[in-house]
Amino acid sequence: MSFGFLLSQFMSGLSLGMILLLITLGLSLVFGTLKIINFAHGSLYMLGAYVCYSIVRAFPETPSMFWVALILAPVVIALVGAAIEFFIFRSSGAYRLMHIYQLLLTYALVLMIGDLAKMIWGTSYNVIPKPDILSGGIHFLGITFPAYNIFLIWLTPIIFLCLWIGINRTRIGLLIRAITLDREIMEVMGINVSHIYTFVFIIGAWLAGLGGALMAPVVAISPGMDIAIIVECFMIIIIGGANSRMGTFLGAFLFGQFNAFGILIAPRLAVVFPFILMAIVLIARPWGLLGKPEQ
Amino acid sequence: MNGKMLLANFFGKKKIGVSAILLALLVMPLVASQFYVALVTEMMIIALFALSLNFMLGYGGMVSFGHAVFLGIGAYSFALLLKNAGWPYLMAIAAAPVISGICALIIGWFCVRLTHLYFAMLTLAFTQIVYTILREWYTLTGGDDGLVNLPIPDFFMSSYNFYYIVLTIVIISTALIRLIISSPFGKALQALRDNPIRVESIGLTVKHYRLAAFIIAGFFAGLAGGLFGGLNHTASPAYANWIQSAEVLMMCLVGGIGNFSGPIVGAGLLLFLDKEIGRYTEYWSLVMGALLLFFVLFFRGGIMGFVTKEFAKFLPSTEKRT
Repeated sequence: MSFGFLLSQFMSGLSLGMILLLITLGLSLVFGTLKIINFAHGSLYMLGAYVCYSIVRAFPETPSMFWVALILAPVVIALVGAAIEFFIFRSSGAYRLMHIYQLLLTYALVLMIGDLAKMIWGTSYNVIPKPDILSGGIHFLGITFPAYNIFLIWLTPIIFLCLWIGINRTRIGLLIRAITLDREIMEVMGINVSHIYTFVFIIGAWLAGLGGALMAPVVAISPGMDIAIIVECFMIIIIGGANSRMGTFLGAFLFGQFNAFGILIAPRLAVVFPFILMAIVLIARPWGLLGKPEQ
Repeated sequence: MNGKMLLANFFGKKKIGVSAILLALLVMPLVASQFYVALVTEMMIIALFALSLNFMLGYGGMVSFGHAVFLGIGAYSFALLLKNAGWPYLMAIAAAPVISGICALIIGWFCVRLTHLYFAMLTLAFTQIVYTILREWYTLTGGDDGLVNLPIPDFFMSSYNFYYIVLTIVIISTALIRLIISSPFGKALQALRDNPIRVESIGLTVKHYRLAAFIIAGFFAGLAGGLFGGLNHTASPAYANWIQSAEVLMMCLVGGIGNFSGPIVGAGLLLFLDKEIGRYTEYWSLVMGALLLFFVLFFRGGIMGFVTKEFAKFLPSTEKRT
């Protein structure tokens, strides 16, 4: 139980937590403003990974293609998200449906996107290598830790900060916050709420796609990614509390740590450990660690 | 009297319709081939599974995305007791719903602390965890392959014998569920589906009723799971995964959430489609998703909802609202 060993595990958990935070933020942004739980968020994440894979594999002789893919893939997914929001949610009046039907609607999308991905990319595992600059290890405090994971660790807070600035210091962020509070009043005031809904959804999709592209070099890209990640996002939201950004941050962090130390104890059942955390939170504080009690 | 009214009168005389169906089910194995006997057996088991979900979903207003977890628990309970503990066949079948009910108590206790979306999220999380455990705990559960080579006594290997056993069990279960729905408990459940705040103010603890509903649903789903294991002679982790949960949810929606017979219709239809479409393409999820999308957008009442609405004008007493 040396210091180096513990530090390695902690860093592992931290990098997992940060990437999950990135993806969950997209989900909670959409949920907070559009009031719709988008099951297909995980599918968008998976598509981000697949698209990144395709771009990298299409140009095998260009080693730094990954960076291009990292920029492009989220944009592609954002466009897919825009299409989903515009053609399916908006025109069908999905926002006026009861929650149960909204859930079933997005669930239907998960099924469809999942099979479409199988059709395009097949059912076997796909992998891409880490980019050259980040494929080594970094030495610090007596351990060697993968450079790519360090990259993941500091990227998320930067994006988190950009989002925070965007929401709290810009005019459109003001509109988004206002719509989150009261959609009808904003419509009465002449704001085109539908456009802003689409905009928020695009950002959520972009975050999901970015998460997928970032994870592409580190995981096996395969069918089933979509459900695995959405369940993890849900667990983080339950642990941290639904309406709190800091709660999401805390939930993601704890999830990462529990998972990392769970891998030490039972590698194939590692996901059970954050689950146990969630169960404990549900017993002690059902509304999440930093959430507010219902009503 | 035009054709529609004639048909409506026939549907309206529910007892005649139900009796006709029961009679058909009783004599079917005598005239049909083994393939169809097995098919109808599967339809009955899955119909029970769908009914158990709709008890929670349609009558309790609880949307569970993880109901298949009980199908898996039931199947594995049956299989493990039969294979590892050497229990008699029928006792193993009987144990499946009991074990499933106990698990439903544990799982439900956590889940009913949340409502709506979070309840749904949590049920999905539970099903994934159990699925992962079933898949990875190789020594106990046989991992990905599941439990095979179950020691099934010869009597139960016969499709015809098994058919009649399933028929009996499913008929009794369906009658029981129907009974529970029309009992005071069932009425309270439906009340709290529509207006939980009002029900709480009368003095009933909504959480306790929801937990009870969850346990009952899990009990009958476990029974379906045990029978399913008996049908397939295996228990596989796939019984508990989210796709199975999605399918049974679809059966309820497509058949009609607000009708008692909706899940039965949905189960039969979807199982039939599954086998038919499975012959032409492996992309059943795509078709299922498209179907679900279509029904959520245009036919939220499901098939039975549509049928009862159409004939409502002619029926003396109408079915429940969709």
